[in-house]
Amino acid sequence: MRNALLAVLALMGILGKAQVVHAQSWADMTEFSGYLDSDVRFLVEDDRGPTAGDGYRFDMNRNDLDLKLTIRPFDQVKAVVDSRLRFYGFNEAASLPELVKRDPIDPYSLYLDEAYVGIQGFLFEGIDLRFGRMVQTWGAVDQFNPTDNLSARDLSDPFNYSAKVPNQMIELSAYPTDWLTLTGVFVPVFKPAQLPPSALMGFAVEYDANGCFAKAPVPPLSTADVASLQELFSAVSPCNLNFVDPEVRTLTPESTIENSQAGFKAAFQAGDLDFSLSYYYGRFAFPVAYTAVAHVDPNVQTPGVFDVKYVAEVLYPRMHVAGADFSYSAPWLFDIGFVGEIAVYFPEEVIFGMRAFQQTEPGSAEQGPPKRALVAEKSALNVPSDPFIKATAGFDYTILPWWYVNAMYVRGFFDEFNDAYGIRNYAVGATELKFFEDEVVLRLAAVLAVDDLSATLNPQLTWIVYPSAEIALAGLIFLGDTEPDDPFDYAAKEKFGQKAAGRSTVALRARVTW
Amino acid sequence: MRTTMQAPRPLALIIILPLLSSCDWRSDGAARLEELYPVPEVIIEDIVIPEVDLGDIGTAEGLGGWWVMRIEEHGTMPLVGKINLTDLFVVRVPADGGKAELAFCEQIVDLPESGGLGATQMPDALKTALGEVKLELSLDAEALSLKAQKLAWTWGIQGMKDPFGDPLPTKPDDPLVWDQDGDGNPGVTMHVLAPEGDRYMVRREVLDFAAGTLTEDGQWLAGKLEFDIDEGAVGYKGSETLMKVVPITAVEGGNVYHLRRVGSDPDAESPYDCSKLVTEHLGVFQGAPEPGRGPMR
Repeated sequence: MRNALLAVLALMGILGKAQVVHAQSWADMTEFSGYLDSDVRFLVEDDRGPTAGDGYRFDMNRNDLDLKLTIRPFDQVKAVVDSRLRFYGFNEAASLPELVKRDPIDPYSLYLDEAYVGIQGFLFEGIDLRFGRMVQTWGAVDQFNPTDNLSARDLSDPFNYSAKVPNQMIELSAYPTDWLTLTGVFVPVFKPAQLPPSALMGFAVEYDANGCFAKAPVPPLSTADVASLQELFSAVSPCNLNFVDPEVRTLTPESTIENSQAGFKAAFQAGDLDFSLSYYYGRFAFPVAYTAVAHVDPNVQTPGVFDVKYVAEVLYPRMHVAGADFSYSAPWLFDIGFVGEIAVYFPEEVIFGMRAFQQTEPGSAEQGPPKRALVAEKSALNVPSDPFIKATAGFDYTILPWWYVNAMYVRGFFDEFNDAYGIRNYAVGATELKFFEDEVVLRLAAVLAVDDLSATLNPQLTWIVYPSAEIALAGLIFLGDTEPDDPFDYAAKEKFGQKAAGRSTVALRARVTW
Repeated sequence: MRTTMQAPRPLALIIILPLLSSCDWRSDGAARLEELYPVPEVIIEDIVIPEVDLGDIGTAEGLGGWWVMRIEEHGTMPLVGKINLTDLFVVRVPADGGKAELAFCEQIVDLPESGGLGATQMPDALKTALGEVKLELSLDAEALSLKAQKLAWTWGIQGMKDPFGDPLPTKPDDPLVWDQDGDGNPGVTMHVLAPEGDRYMVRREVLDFAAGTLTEDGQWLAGKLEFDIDEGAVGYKGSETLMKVVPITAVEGGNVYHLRRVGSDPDAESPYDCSKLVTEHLGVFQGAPEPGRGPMR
């Protein structure tokens, strides 16, 4: 990491020198942009964390420096490098030896969001090539694009759910007419979505105030099967169950050609109507529950106490997606903008399997590994192979120059794949009010999960202090029950109520862009 | 014709290709677990069966005499796994052959999968107390059989109006709770090995006997049964966990009873007392006929 950082900084330094030497030519060839962003966040609740009472503390203390460089050495050629240096702002030094090093005291990451070459007129006039590290965003609607599957989401920042995980890809675009664009993308190696920190809560074991076992993650089984699994542990006092933190293994697809991704899109333009058809082959970027095994072993030190180790596996199912989307600005109806997007998913069938083993004889050097008996075995169809639909439809409208509204119906959230949790329905709305000649912008956004009535609110007040400099105060609030009505029902968790959805947070941010 | 076919082809491919190629996509988690964590084979160790010589037990025509009885029940308990219960009784059948008086001797509890969890040790005081309360089963003296019937066998409870259906007492001061083993604690005392301590408990076992017929040689009475065990804790000494009683769920198959004749004169002293029966029961019941099969009378 340090070497990579030095390399980028050295590159910037060399370029700086180069600009001095060839000031005129480099100025013509390069575009330099980026931003500096300073972000402090505070948790405004204490009931959505891993333990009750965790909250009302700083959750983020981050500084981002984004440097983007576009170089055009020739009219038809460009190279784009977008790097981001991120300092987290929390000391991670946990021991004396670490205190003599800077990295644990001031941890950081280097991101390379884009690094690709672009060639116009590749092989033929009217064909463009982009090759390298980049992201793709397909679809016509805002954020909730069911046809957008080539680049996995980066949900590591809950305030920025449009971010993507960049990946190496090859994109060819052809413009046979001025109303038709054909795009083909090949992604050799699959990359999964980056999950928010709260996702770990989805697999977390919870403990009560006395530190005794309270709840294990609910597997995607029938409620009767989950109840019988829970009953397995009814023989032992919760305080005598020593649940080791679950280990969740991700089954990453091998780097074979069958696991590559590909997408094709034909985009049409006819006046105020933009319309496209698309097809995608690849994998769903969010993990789906596949297997789980619980090992229940008597604790060697304390009779009557049992160690429970829970090992789960998740995978990324294969899929075909056929999609269509449109956007239309209606001049005959106050210029309201209508958007719609639909995708039919043809998924890989996933059967979830679970086993629980009880140690019957401890292992030893003479007798070999411990002997275990199977005490429970369950399985259930987690993802049926039947095709399913995800869709979004909505409109946006600028009512007054200072007042904008946007509303959408969404079927299927980013992370939903018709597994045991199902495909759900959402109402999404946002409004933006601008004051003082656009210097102050108030944006209110909300997503309501129609099926369980949980919600998330995202208000943001932005003050544009000077052009290019802004200070924003934002909130991300989760509303709903953290505990499901039926603790044995995998699908009973409220979308935004469950702890895995995230923490309610307030952010204060300053940003300068150039 | 050719032109009209070409236009929809890309769209048709988009729709048809996925339908064709996703049909056989499948990730089977259950199969993967079988591969990663195969179920271990159960190794049954050799059991030494004692030699038993019952001697001359006479040639009684009826059922009267001395018998020993074994009741085998199989179930499962959460976390503990399989549970195999074997109850042993010394049985006296009066000369008229109309009933069997059962005196409890021992309950053998086998927990092959528990790793020690749930293991118990029945105190001698409890065995004695249970043995003092004779259980009675109806016999058909003419048909030489044990009648189909239900029996409610209770531990630490007395005065129930309906011993088959009344709810078990849950509090130590409930008048139904009986210090049957006379140790000064409510109900009966069962010693639990893991977690170690004493559970003061009440228990009801409803045994539903199918009819059992005498074998041709007059030595065996055997039949199937169903059972339902209901237990509750009314106190404990040691870990609070002992108040948590794990239900036993009966599994089908293998729940049987066997009576073996060991003496023909009910007025003579029993050839078997509890101590001898516990020592020799594997030998005594060796070769027991499978209920419903074999040479019955």
